[in-house]
Amino acid sequence: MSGNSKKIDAYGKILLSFLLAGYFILAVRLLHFQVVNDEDALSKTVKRYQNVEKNKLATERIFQPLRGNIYSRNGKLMATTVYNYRVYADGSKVDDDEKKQIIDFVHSGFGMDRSLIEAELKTNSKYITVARRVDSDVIDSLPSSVSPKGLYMDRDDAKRIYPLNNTASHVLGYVNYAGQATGIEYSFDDVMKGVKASSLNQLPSDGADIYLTIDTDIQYFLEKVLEWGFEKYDPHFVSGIVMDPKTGEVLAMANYPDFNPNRFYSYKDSDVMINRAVAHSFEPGSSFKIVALAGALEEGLLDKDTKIDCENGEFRYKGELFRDTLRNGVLDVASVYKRSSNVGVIKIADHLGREKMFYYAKQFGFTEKKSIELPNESSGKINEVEKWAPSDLGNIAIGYGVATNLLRLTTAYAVIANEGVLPEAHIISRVRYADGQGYRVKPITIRRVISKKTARKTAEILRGVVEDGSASRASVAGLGIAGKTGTAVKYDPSAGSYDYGRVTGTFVGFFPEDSPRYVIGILGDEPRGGGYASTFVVPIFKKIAENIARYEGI
Amino acid sequence: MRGFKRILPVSVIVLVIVFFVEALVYMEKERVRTETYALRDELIMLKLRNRELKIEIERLTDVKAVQKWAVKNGFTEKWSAAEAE
Repeated sequence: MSGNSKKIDAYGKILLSFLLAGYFILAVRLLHFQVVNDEDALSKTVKRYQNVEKNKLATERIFQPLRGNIYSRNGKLMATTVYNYRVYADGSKVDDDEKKQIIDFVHSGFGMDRSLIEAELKTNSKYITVARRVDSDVIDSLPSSVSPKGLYMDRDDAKRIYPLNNTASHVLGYVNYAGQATGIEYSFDDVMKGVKASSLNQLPSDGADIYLTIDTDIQYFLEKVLEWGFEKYDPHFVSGIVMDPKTGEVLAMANYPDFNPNRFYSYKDSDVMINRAVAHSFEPGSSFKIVALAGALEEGLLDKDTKIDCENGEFRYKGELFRDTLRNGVLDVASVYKRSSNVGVIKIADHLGREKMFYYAKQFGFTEKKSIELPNESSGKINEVEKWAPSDLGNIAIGYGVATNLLRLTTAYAVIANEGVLPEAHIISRVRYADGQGYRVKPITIRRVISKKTARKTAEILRGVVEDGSASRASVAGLGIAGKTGTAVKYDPSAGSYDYGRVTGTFVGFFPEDSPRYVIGILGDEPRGGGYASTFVVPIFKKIAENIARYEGI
Repeated sequence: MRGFKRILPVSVIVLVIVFFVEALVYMEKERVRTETYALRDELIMLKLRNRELKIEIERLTDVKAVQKWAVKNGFTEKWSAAEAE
C-alpha cells in the first residue's frame, strides 16, 4: 500500500467516525424526543392527539378536574357536576349536499332555526355552535343515530346539577356558565374547582367535596312552612334559620320566594336569589330587648320580680317620647317582657347605662362584620357610644338604631340557649379532598357572654313570653319554648321618617327550654296590612317547631 | 479505503436497526398514550356514571316527590304544615 492510499484510508475513517457520531447524536435525540416526555417538544407537536381523536375520545376532558360535590349533613347529594353534550358544526369541509343534511338534522333534532344555521354554514365557519349542555337523553332520542358529516357532538360540556332543585338554593347558590358563583359555590370555589392536569403524566386533581351542616329534612320543613307563611300573610319575603345552639351548626336556612339553581338564568328578578337570612339588614325591634335584660341580670341590677313603673305606656326619655302598645302600669321584669313594654325596657337599659348596653350588644355579636362562610353577609352595626344622641340608649334598648341580620339575631339567642356562651355559626361540617383526606369543622365557642345562671334566668323570662305573653301563639304543649317577638317599623329614607304602614316582624325562640337543641329565627318583611310579629311570624315559628319536634320525637 | 468499505455496510445496518427500534418505540409510545387516554376517559365516564346514579337516587327519594306520591295514595297523616292548613 502506497503512502497516498494510507492517507486516504485514514481520512475515510475520520469521515466515517464523524458520520457515525452525527447519526448517533441524531438517534439519541430522536429517542429522547419520542421516549422521554419532553414537555416543550410535546406541546409543540401539533398532531399528538391524532390517535386519540381517531378513537373519538374527548381529548380535553381528561385534563379537566371534576368540580366537587356538595352534600348535606345526612349525606344527600345537593350539587354535582356532569358532562353534557356540546353540539357544533364545521362548515369548512362540507359540500352543499352535506350542509343540507346538517340543516335538516339540526332543525329536527335540536329545533334550531333553519335560516340561522344556513346563514352560519354559508360563511364556511369552522365552529358553529348548535347547542350547549345537551342532556344525553336528548342525544339518545335524536331521530337518526348517525349524525351527518361535519356535525360533532362532544360530551365535554360541564354542567352543574342541583338534584334537590329549590332545596337550600340560597345556601348553595349556583355556578353560571362563565364559572362565576354565588352562595357556598362561591365561598368554596377554590377548594371545589380542583386543579387541571398540565400534562399526560399528571392526573387532574378533582375538587373537594363539601359537607354542609344542613339537615335536608329540617330544611324541607322550614321551606314548606315559609312558603305557607308567605302565601298566608303575603309579606315581601320571609326568611328562617334553624340552628343547634350548642355547636352553632346551621341545620336549615331558607328564604321565600326561593329559586331553582338549575334554572338560575330564567329569573328576571335577581332579588329572589339573594340569601336574605344573611344579606338583609334590618332593625330588630323588640327581639333585641334580650340584650338589656341579660346585661342587667348579669350585672345583678334586677331579678325577674323587680317592679318597674311603665308609666301607663308613655314615657319621655331624654327628650324623646316612647310609647307602649298597651297601657302598662307597674310591672315586674317578667311581665315587662311578656307585654314587651318599651318603657319598662328603656328603664332597665337606663339602669344598665350606655357603656354597659353597648358592651353587651357587642358581646352578643351584634357588631360583628362576618359570622359565617356565606358571601354577601351584611355586617352588624351599632354606633359607638360617643356618637349616641342622649335618647339613643332608649332607642337601642328596644331594637332601633341597630342594624343586624337574621343569622346574627338567631346566634344571639343561641347564647341564652347555650348557657351564656356565644357559639360560632357555621354551615360547613366537613371538607373531603379527592384523595380521601380532609377535615371536619369542629364547633368553636367564641366567648362567654353571660354566666350560666343569667342565661337560665333570661331563658325563664323568655319562656314566660311564650307561655302567656306576646308570643303565646308559639306555645306548643309539652315543648317548653322560650323566645321573643320583635316588630319594627321600617324607616323610609326618602321621607326621612318611620313609615308605620311598613313593618319587619321577627321571632326567635328555642326549645326544649331545659336543654335547648334548636334555636329558630324567623323574619317576615312587610306583610300586607302590617300587624305585629305575634300575628304573622309566630305562627310560622310554631309550625316549624311542631314539625321538628315530631320529626325528632321531642 | 478497505477499512471504510468494511465499516460502511455495518454502519448502514446498525443505523437501519436503530431506526427500526426507534419506529417500534414510537409506535408503542403512541399505543400506550392512546390507551392512557382511553383509560383516563373511562375513569371519568365511571365517575360521571356514579354521579348520574347519585342524581337518580336523589330524584327517586326526593322528599317532595315521595310526599306527593304518599298523599296521592292516601299514606299520610295530616301533620305536616302544608297539609294541616
